[in-house]
Amino acid sequence: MQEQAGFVEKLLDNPIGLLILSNVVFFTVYILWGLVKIETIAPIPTALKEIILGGK
Amino acid sequence: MALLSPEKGWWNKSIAKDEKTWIVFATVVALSLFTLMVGWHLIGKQNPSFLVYSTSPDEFYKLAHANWEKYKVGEEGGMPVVKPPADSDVFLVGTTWRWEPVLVLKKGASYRFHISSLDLLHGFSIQPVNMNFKIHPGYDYVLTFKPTSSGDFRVICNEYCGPGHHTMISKITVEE
Amino acid sequence: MFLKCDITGFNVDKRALPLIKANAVVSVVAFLIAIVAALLVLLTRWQVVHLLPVDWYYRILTLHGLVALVVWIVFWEMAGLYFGSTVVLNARQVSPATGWLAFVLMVVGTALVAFAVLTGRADVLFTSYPPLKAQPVHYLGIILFAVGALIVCGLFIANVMVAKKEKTYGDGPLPLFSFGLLTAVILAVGTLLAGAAIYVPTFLWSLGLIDSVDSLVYRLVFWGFGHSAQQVNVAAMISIWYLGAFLAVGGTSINEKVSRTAFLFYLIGINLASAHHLLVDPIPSPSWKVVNTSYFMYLAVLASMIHAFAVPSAIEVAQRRKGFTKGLFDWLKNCPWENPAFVSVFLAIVIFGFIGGITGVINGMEQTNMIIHNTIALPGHFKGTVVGGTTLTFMGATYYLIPLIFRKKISMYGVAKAVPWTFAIGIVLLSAGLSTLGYLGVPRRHWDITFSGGPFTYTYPPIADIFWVVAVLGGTIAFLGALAWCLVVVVSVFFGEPVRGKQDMQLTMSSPPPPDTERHDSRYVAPGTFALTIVFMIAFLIFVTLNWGWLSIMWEVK
Repeated sequence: MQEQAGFVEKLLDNPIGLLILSNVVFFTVYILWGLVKIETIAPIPTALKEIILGGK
Repeated sequence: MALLSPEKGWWNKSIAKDEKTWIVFATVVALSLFTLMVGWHLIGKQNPSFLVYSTSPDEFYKLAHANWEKYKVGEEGGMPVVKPPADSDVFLVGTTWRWEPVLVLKKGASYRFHISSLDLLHGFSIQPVNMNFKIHPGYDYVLTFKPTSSGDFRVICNEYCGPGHHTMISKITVEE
Repeated sequence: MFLKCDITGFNVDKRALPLIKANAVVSVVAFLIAIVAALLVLLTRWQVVHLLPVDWYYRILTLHGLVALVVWIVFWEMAGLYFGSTVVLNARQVSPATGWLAFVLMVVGTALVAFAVLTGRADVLFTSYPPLKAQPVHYLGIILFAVGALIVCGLFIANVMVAKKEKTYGDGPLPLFSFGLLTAVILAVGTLLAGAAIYVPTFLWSLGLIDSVDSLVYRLVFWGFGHSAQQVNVAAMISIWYLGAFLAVGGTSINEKVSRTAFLFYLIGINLASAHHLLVDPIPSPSWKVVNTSYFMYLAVLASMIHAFAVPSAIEVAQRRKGFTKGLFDWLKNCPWENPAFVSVFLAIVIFGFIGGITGVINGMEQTNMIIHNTIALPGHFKGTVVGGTTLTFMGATYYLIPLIFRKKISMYGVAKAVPWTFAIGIVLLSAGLSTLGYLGVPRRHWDITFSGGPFTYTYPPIADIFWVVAVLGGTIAFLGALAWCLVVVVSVFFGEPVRGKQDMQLTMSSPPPPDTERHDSRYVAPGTFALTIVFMIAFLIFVTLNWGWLSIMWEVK
């Protein structure tokens, strides 16, 4: 029986495997991806700034 | 049972008809909701903007004041009343404890709101249409609004920003 | 080291018992503080009374958030984790001394935070968003608390691994209750790591050692901690639901593969949903928002809907096998309604599903979030999840801890039986009141919605006055129920009659029903549950439609 256990069945009985899976997904998809998006926000374009500051 | 290991062969036990039907139904609903969120970006008229610039309180303050000077039509409640033309950039500034300026807009026209804070986090909340956005210092959140109703509206702060939080209120008038 | 429980037959490690007791006692003290603070907050929000002055309002609100959402719940969970990794597995407690170290860290952390908040050193609310700054002692307290909790998570995993190696619970996989708790612990590890990643820099910033903490990064990482912590509660609560189904009527998940796979879905997707806090923040990526807020394409919502079928169907199938087979709901009518722990679990399932779950999914959709964000509908939502769901579940489960762990009979049993109903009715009214006020645009965390002292005024529609009354009425009823529960627990634990054996158990301790030999795939085994879940889905879809309808008549924005 034990030999026939499938991947998911074995994973469910492996606390450390589950710990790694859950946290890798969380830290990659939520934290890391989010951080990259925030850190790559560009400054206000100079052209726009000139229009706002300049007369019309 | 919840306090013992599952019986032998539990992994291969067949799923009852009602449980299976429910899971299929729930999956369909889940995927539909996901599709709705994605699809609303294509067909819906209300989507949070994804146009953001980084800025600094100093820079934003300067831009905002230049912008208000151009379209200022008066003063009310100790702050400028600004009437920008349709399709223009409009600057809104949150500070403890003011939302500036007072705006006069035209129903059906679009405006690019640039909103930022000069100090703490503020909640940009238009009442009574009840549309809410989070405003950070150092980030220019560009939201293109098109008012679809006319009358007097209020902008209140709905993110805690200290003991004067509740006095942070401004006005938007939308003309027909 | 072990003693044999004469009620359950478990081999209980004597060293785990005081750990369970100490954590449980602190949690009840915290609960008492939390509900008093809650009442003060509510009576201030209601403009008719407007009880507290502005500085004390925000202070007590800060205290309420931290003590209710963190101290009460986490200490209770610590007790539950020791229980779930030793007692019910016949397992030994790995390094009790480390457990005591964690306990001391958490108590000291709590004391520091309470001191900081009550002395005005941390008027920053639960979320403490920079650039709002508290004094360093506040962040230090939270860090100590989190380190303690993380240690207990480590001990739980260690206990489980040792139990598995020593085969204390047999050869097979971990029992479902402990497996669910393992899910909670794994989610907690990610939660607490995110907490460390944000509180440590914020602490250094408060000390003046670093210049600034970016507010957007803070909100991203903070909610990786703040909301994930709620997902820990969800997983722990659902584990107790499965346990409750067993203790009350001998119910077993009708398909453990399905239940366990649902927990796996939680592990993959549920913490991602922290992103729903940032849907209207200046984050320039709709893909990040949508993928995360949907718990990875609603994988974790699917998991919750699976549990929503699995737990009631466990009860239904057990009841049917015991002979309650008439019609759709004979099984439900014949549930042990005189058992307040069962009633708590039952009401928690209903409230969590119909109020917490439905509002949670809708509030967490990218676009509908715009018409709800930071309104008082949010507290309305989590009164349906963490209060009506988790707290009520824990209150009910405590009724089992009193005789089994403290070895005391439940005093004032009549009051104990009235508590879940009272608390549930109160919370439902409170939640309904607050949610409706949120749709009317009333902000959360706001001292004065008449905007006195501001340059303009605004008056909410008169109908809001009615819903304030509903909320205050509900909050007061819930407060009285919660206070009665504290009284029952304290009197039982400190002055209760001792439990000498099975004959002194007031609560049902069911044994499994006759075994099931039939094939399942071709028939409906739980038609009553099926009908109830369909009703739930219809309610859910109605609310989805209403919300998107409201959204579509708002101003256009892109």
